[in-house]
Amino acid sequence: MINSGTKTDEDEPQKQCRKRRKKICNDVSHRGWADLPVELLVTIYSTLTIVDFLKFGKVCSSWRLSFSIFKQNFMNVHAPLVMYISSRAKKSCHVYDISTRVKYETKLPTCVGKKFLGSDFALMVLSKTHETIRVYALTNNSRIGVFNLRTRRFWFLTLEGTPWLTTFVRLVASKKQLLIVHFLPTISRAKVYTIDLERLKWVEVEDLGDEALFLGAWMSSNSGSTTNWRGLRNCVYHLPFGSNMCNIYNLNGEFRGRFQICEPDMTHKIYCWYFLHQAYSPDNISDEN
Amino acid sequence: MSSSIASSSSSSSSSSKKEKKISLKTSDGEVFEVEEPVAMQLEIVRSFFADNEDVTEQTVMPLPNVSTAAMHGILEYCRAHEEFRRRMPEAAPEEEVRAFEAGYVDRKSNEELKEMILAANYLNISKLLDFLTGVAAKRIENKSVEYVRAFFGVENDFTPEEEANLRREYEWAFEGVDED
Repeated sequence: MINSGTKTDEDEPQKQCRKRRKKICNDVSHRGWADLPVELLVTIYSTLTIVDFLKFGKVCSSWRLSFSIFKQNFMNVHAPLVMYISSRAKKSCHVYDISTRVKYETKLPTCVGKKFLGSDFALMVLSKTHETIRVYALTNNSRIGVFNLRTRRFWFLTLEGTPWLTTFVRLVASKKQLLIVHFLPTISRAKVYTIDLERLKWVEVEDLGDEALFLGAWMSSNSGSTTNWRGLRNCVYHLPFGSNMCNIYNLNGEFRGRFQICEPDMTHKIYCWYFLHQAYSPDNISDEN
Repeated sequence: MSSSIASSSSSSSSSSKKEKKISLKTSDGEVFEVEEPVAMQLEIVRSFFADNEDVTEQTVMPLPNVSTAAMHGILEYCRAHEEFRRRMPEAAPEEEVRAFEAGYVDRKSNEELKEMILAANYLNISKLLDFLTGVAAKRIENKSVEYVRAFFGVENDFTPEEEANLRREYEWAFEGVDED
């Protein structure tokens, strides 16, 4: 198999992997995978855990490109991560993968003088047909406000069949629609609605297909597909305030089960879902001051 | 395991009426005579024979993107699966299939695995491709970025500045990777 042709190829210096070349590249001629067909790369991606997937974005520039393109798709079919912070620890927090049950530790950026305002009070919805960006917001008296970013016009929707809602309500963007989730775990009640924008009325949602909802105590809500990681479809995964458990309810609010995020020995923690593909990297956030 | 499958498949083919063979030529010029049901697992071969009316049994189909070494590996897999199908046409014997696949892939080096993934992609054998890409994913599980680069033979083409920025991205995910 070895001929002089492959020998000259081997002479090309490859500093970072020279040590391992012996082991990995034996008799078959060396073949670069930087230009691996994208569909193959995606097939390999799809079986990886989130953490292994993140590595693909750091391998080389062409992989980074396909990594950024497929990140959204990848995260949609993977379980979200849980981030939790001890009230005592100011410098680090933990990230927990609920599908692999592996815990990671990360350093917190310096947050002195900054305040977290929350993430699910308003949602940005991009309408492809009109190429307009609209921000939907829910008021505390169940009205839905719309802000058109292009025309800078703000208005309230006049809707039929507005249900009675408490303050335990939030907006969740699912793949296809904007969901309004009214969730009262303490009295085992839940209802999921959407707004029929054509008929301008509230519609109750009973089936989310293979999706589940991920709700936190007071921030970060989302929905995602459960098939790939064998989660419970049509369910609410809830992180109650200050608890180390994740509780699962069906869409009517009935308790279905629970699992532990971390050991219960450390108290007063903030637990929230961490949706990697929706978190902006510091590069994308400009500080207006 | 593999030798018993190979011998049983050859004995069954000799006992039945003369089986139709298809000739496939690899990039380095070697011609493989492959039993028809096995060759038909290669989608590229199946459509070649289905779409071209003027091909005969004597036609040698060239496969310029497949090396002889990769072809040996691919045929071993396809023959084993054909054997499973022949014995249990209703449902594959799951445990046996798994045992065969585990032993089969254990003997493959990373380089052979890569060759075969490219070949399986070109030949369009989705079952084998899914299996092999799954194995590749398993082999880079919890490894460092440097290991992934070496595994796929991909060069790091980032500038030092880009790399410094990348290092900060999702830093938490890169602590505690396995020794290479």
